[in-house]
Amino acid sequence: MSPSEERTSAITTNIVDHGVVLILGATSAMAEHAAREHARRGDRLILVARSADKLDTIKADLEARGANEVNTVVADLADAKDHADTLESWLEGRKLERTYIFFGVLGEQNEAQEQLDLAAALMRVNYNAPAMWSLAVANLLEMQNGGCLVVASSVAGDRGRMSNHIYGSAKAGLSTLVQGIDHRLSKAGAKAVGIRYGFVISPMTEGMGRSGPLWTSAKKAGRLAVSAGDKRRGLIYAPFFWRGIISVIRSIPTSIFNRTKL
Amino acid sequence: MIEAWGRLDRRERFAVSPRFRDDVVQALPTRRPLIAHGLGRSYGDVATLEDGVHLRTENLDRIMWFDPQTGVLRAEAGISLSAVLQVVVPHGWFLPTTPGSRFVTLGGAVANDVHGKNHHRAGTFGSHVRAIGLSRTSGEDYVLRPDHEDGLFAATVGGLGLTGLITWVEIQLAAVGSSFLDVETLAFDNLEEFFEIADASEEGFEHTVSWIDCLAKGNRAGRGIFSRANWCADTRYEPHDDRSALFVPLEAPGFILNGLSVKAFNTAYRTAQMHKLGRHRTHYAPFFYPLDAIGGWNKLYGPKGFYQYQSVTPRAAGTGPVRRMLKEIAAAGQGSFLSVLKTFGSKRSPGLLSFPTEGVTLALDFPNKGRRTLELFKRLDRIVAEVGGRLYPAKDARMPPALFRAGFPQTDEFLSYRDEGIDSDFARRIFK
Repeated sequence: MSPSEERTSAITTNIVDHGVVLILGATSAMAEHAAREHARRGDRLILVARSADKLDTIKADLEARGANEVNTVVADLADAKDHADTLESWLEGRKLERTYIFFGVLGEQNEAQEQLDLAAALMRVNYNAPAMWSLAVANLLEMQNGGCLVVASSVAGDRGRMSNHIYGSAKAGLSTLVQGIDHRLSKAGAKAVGIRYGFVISPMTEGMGRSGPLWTSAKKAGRLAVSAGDKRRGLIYAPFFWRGIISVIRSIPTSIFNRTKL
Repeated sequence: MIEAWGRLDRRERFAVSPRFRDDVVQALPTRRPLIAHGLGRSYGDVATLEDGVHLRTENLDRIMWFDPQTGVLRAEAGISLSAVLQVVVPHGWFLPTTPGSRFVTLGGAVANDVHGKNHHRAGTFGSHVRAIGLSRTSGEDYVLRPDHEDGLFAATVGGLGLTGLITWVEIQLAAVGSSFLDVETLAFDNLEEFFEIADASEEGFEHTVSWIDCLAKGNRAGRGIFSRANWCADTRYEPHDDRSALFVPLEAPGFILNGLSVKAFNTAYRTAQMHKLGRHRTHYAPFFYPLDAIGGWNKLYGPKGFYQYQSVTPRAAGTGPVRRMLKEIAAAGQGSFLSVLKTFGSKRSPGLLSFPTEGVTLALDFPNKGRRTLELFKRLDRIVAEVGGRLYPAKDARMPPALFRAGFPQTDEFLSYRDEGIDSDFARRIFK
């Protein structure tokens, strides 16, 4: 195998010339790896997250890795108003070629089911906030007649279970919303893809026993988001084998499923 | 699971993986000793700590700045050399020197003061370090530079991570004319020939290395293949791609590597190389990193893991020590796949505990056969000690403290720079 054969030759997007990549929740591990993939392609990026210091660290890295331009915005995405205006102010008239929504919080199911204000906060950050941003981006893509929205969702939304049904229900709602947005955007030459991730090794899952074939690195998860944005639409699983696992889990009769403590 | 490359001692260990440099302090549980752990390519126990905290640096992997005009790069300690190359090669730069795997971290390259095939020209990796960001567990942060009168820089380069946490490193890259090399491969029949070729090659070739058939006996003893290379000048700058690598998913059963299969491999390898004698042009990835093409090759040694034994013996001692070591190994029938022989040049290493010194270095893998293997090492130790040689800590899992002390005369000076909050299984074994 010669090195020239090993190289990935074709660059799959032409975002460089036409527009920008917007990443909401840009300091998450998965988001950072997705951003690196775009940097490698020489794209222009807008990164949004809460911490200015972390954004600066990531910006310098992405510039060194080849990004054409990196702008950072410090904002609390879960507590935003005027989504449409805010988006426009970030874009400064450029085309929104690709948007990623990566923010979310796994939370503590047991605490949240006891203290409902914690449950409400989890629903807000995992459903309301990404849903509002998704809708605002969808409106813009419809006007542009192009572009792609990529939203990180989770297999946790595919069957409610005792250990994470608050988080899971938010992701279920988000998956359905993005699926509907894609249906709508298909009439406008744009698209959306909701990625139902399996187990990802990231700060979100710190403290779990994270070894074995079902676990995916944040690096791979981030790259899968970029390739999903390149090639896929609607609702997908990542990695692909979760489709099979989830179809088995969904087919377990309730009477049997309820004997487990998953 | 924290593993060292030799996989001799595998168990669940406590680890934290901070994502940002500012999070490192918060991520640490108090009152527990810690050790930085990168990509786990050190063979033995320099990056493990039985009851301590493993500070995994894999997510601290950002480039802080890179100037394509001057080739100065500053990056966080956890970035792999592979990632560095992917960024800098398209701009015409390369690592000043590189070990045989690109899957080591920048911090690990400094902490072990690694060397490569161009040692006779470039010296060690640490010789090209412009600055180091060091955080001590007592709370002080330092920026260390080679011209500091204080010895903390010299203690940190090759300091096995024991002087503080290396948080970032700034290096001077080397300008290259291409991402391809012109390689020349020659066969040698014995050690005298090896030294002749090595001496003749130092002037005209930037990179030299040899494979040696460690199982050959009698008048075949010391035979091997010498390879020497220079960068091309065609300005084709193509970085490698890590995504196409093969991967060994499971460990091989222990019986696969036995005397017969190793012997067969060595014979087959020699035959294959003999067919390639002469000149050819190759990309840097297969030249510098042949084993990186097989991810997890260390698992081929099976459930008991393996040792590597890498020594350097002084130039003045001549071929004698290497000849005697090869004889012991062949007699014990315990040699391995890729035995590597290389001469180190006279460039002084910058670290108090840097391994390379002028002489000849021999590196061999040994499947772990328990007492038999350890007994062989004792015999090899005696040969190394007699001529004032030393063993490479990054590869070691068993050297006796006395051999370390004898090989590294600046140990006491080094110890005065240690960070008291940091420890490693290696340090406990050697400095107890």
